[in-house]
Amino acid sequence: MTTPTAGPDGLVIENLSVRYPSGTHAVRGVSLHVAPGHTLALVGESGCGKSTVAMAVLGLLPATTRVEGTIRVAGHEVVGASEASLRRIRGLHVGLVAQDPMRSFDPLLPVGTSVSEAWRVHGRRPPRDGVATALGALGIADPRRRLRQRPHQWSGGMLQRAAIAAAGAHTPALTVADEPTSALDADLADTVLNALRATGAGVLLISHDLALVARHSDEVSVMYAGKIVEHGQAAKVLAAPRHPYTAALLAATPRPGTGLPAPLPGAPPNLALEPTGCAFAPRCPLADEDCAENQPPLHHDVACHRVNGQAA
Amino acid sequence: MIAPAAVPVLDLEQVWVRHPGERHLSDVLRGVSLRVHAGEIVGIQGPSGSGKSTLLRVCATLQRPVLGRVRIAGREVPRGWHRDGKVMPINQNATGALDPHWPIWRTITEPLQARHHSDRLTQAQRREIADEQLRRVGLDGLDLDARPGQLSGGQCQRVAILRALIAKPRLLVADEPTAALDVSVAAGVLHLLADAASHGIAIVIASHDRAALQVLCTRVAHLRDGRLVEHAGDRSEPLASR
Repeated sequence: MTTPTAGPDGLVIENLSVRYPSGTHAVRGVSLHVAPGHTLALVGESGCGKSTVAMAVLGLLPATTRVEGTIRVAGHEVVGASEASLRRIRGLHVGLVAQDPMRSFDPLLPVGTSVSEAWRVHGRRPPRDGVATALGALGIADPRRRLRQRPHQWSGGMLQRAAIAAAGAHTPALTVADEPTSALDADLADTVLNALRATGAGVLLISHDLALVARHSDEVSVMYAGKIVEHGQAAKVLAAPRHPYTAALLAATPRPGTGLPAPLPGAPPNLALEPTGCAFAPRCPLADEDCAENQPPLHHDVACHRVNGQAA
Repeated sequence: MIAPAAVPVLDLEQVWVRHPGERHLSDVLRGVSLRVHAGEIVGIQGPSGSGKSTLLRVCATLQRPVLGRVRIAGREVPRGWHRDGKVMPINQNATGALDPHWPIWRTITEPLQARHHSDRLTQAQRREIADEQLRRVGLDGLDLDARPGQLSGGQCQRVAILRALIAKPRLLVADEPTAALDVSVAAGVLHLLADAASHGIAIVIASHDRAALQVLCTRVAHLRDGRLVEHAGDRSEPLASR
């Protein structure tokens, strides 16, 4: 890390809470840490608050949203920061690779112009041939000619690599990747994630694809109803899940040789309502009376009465 | 398991499809042959741009090949073929495939109102049928008068599949039906498709999720350079007796 402002920590989130004006309490006390060069995957179903965490890290939530807690990116506090300082933090300290590459680029501009915007927005100029060199390093053949083309002449996988080049323009301490490969083929997904990790930044990977997460992340945090219910090393958590929700997500993931995957019953809860007990209890095969009445705290990286009860 | 009939539901014979390319015409499909019998699920995989969607449009009789034959239940698809509900397509974007102004009871039961279904149903009957169908796929809590915009992607996809199945088609053609869904919901869709096949419906499904195809399909075919290469899926056993 050459930027002097880049602290030793990539991303530190402490007790983050996000409430939308609609009353939806999307994030309910999330703490996590992404070290530089490490990849943390945030997994869970749609509507569990994963993307809200990502938007909060980038300071992109609407001004009417109530955000509490601490988010530090390379030592810079994001919660409550002014729009001017957020603009400085974005790009210099944190990059974004969004879900749909076809919508991340202006269709009327050459791809090269869009990528070099990452420098111009901070009043800088890309180094001579810098964009082409960066894209060449990401496996784009003949980048000088390609950069003059418009986005529709590129494939999704190539555009996503251009997005990675733009996100990495100022070697930020952190890259937020929100479902970066869900619009891509499986082979391309691996290429894109390898490219992303090779930039050396810490990566906060938002995904619901557990197979992908198993291949490409160091750690994983499983999110349900705005809370982290399980955390640990990706290989460990995904091989031997402890929380029933993690186990259910894994059982719903198709794996050759194991028959049809088991769907989860029911749907994630309405986040406008505060649960009395464990939010997962209504869908949980292990739930008992205790689960319906008391919210389980995150204890030894698992928030589950039944698991922690057995351990004690 | 229903024994596969002697006549395949879908029979593609040496199908060629040509698209205009950058400099010259390019052959997207170069002599593809594929037979799918009742109760079989055939998966199609291949990288983006390999012609998967083109092949599926041909299977769904939505696109005519420049060369070769397409037979549905032994009958060649004639020019001006009116789609009589024997072949039903399912898309990746279910929300976009449903009429945004229609309540879901109307969407689900609309195929029953098609020309060849002579007895007209009353609204009360249609609501009852829709309610029963939704119950079957675990969507019993859903409001029959909800519009697609009020549903999640997974709910829309299940509604789209119910609509496709209600008039008892012979063939279902599904292009990436789970790509936009959460794993938890996608697993439910896979069960729905497996259930349809166990009732004798032939299914062709394209997906880039190799694991999903492997667990769901009786056969998986790889599309490469405009040709198909087949191998067995996890559920191929019931067909061994054929």
